[in-house]
Amino acid sequence: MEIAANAKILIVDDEPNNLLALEAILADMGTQLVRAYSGKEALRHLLKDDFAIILLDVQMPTMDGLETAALIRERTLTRFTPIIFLTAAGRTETEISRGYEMGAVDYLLKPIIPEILRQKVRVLVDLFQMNAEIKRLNFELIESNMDLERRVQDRTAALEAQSLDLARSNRELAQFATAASHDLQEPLRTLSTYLQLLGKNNKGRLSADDQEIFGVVLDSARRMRQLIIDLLAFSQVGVGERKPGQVDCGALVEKVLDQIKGMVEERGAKISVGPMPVLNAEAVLLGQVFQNLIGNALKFQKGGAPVVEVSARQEQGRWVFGVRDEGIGIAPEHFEKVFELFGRLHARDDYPGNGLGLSLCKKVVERHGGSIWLDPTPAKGSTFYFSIPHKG
Amino acid sequence: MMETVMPQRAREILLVEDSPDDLKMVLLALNKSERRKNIATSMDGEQAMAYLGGRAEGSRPDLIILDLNLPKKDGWQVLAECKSDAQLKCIPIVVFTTSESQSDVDRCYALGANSYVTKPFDLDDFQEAVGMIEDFWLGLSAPWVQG
Repeated sequence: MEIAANAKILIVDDEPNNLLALEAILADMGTQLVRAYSGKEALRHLLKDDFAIILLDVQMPTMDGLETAALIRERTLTRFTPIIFLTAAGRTETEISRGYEMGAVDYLLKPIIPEILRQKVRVLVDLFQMNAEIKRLNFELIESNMDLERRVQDRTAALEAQSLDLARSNRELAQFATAASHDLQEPLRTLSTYLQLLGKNNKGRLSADDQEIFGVVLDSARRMRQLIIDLLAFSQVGVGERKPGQVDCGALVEKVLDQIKGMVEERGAKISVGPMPVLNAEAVLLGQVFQNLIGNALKFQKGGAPVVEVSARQEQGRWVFGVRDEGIGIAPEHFEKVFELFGRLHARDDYPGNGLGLSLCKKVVERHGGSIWLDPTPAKGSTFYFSIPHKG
Repeated sequence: MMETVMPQRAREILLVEDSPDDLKMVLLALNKSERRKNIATSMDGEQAMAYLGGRAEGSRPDLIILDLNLPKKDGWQVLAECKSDAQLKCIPIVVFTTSESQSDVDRCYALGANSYVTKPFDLDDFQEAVGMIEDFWLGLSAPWVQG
């Protein structure tokens, strides 16, 4: 919406001389003056244009100033346009008060004192311009609100589409990982069995060096197999239906310890398990978390018998589990890296592993709505914590 | 009245396997045992069904060792068709496959598989697994099939 650079003033008088006089008084005020010789003509102008002020003579033939004012006030667009009545001196108080009733903002008695008229006009023009500015700002505000709303809608739609895309590509990726892992296993198994067959057929005929080469290749095949199995497990988290149920964590940890019994006994580990809760979770996945954390605690040792402590405590709507060890520990700058996919801190020869265990733990815990972190200031070794929120 | 004792024919295994490498490996393992037996092989599901359909009563295989990922007609289809066929459903089917996935195991048993064995990764285990399949399903004295 445009505002006129110059405010327009409508001057209405049946007497051309009076109009001339008004024009003379207001000439250098930077306003645009529009003449009307009758109330009717004034109304016509008001239909076409927006005026800052109307200077209206009261005594006019056929339609006098008061009648004209009444009609002006009836129209929505001009309801608030300030009207200054111009009238000959000696008019009665009642006429003046009627004029105000008709919506006059002011009354000037003829003969007009130029300075007073100019003062009044200046104030009203300023007001008009301020109003116009407010209207413009308001309009801009509405415009920009609408624009904002449009942009929010566009953005929301884009985000929704994006998140659908993301969900789809996640699903596809998981399907891909599953299919790839299955298809990778087959040739790998063939490689392994045939290699062993070759070794068997040539038993006693291989040099010590060749035996070693055989061992390296077979070991690589086994490691790759473990990698595929772990990748498969990782890609399976979050795929398919959730199957939560009541999980007795005490029994679950016991089962895990039974599965890694060989490792526990071999290393002479001392493992203590505190009181464990029964909670709502996906048992298989939660078991993988315990297995990885306890397995790591046993694995990352300086030598000597590992000491591992598994605990659980309840706090603000969640269970917090802890797996503490007295092993080699993790430097704080690596606290993030250990949870990354394939993130490893040590040479494979020092500590075997493929860097998938803790990423799997993170994925499982987050699937349950919890989080996993490291104790920032352990007395020794390291302590992993993970939380599982209570389900309502 | 005298009963004619039919000379017992050699037991037969139908091996359905599309990978020539695995086929060779399974045959190698089967040939380790002393048991006299015939081994028929099919490289895909269609071939296997055609073979089974062409055999007269009394000369059908005594055991089917079935891979799952097969061309033309996959192992699940073969399993489903055999187990819903009045003539074929009493032939024991052992699924022998790479997949360790629980959903594959469940699905096979739901379709009527008699056993599900994952192909082992190590040679010794592989040969032992095949040997045990043969021993269990052919070593039983009960006449399974042609009843």
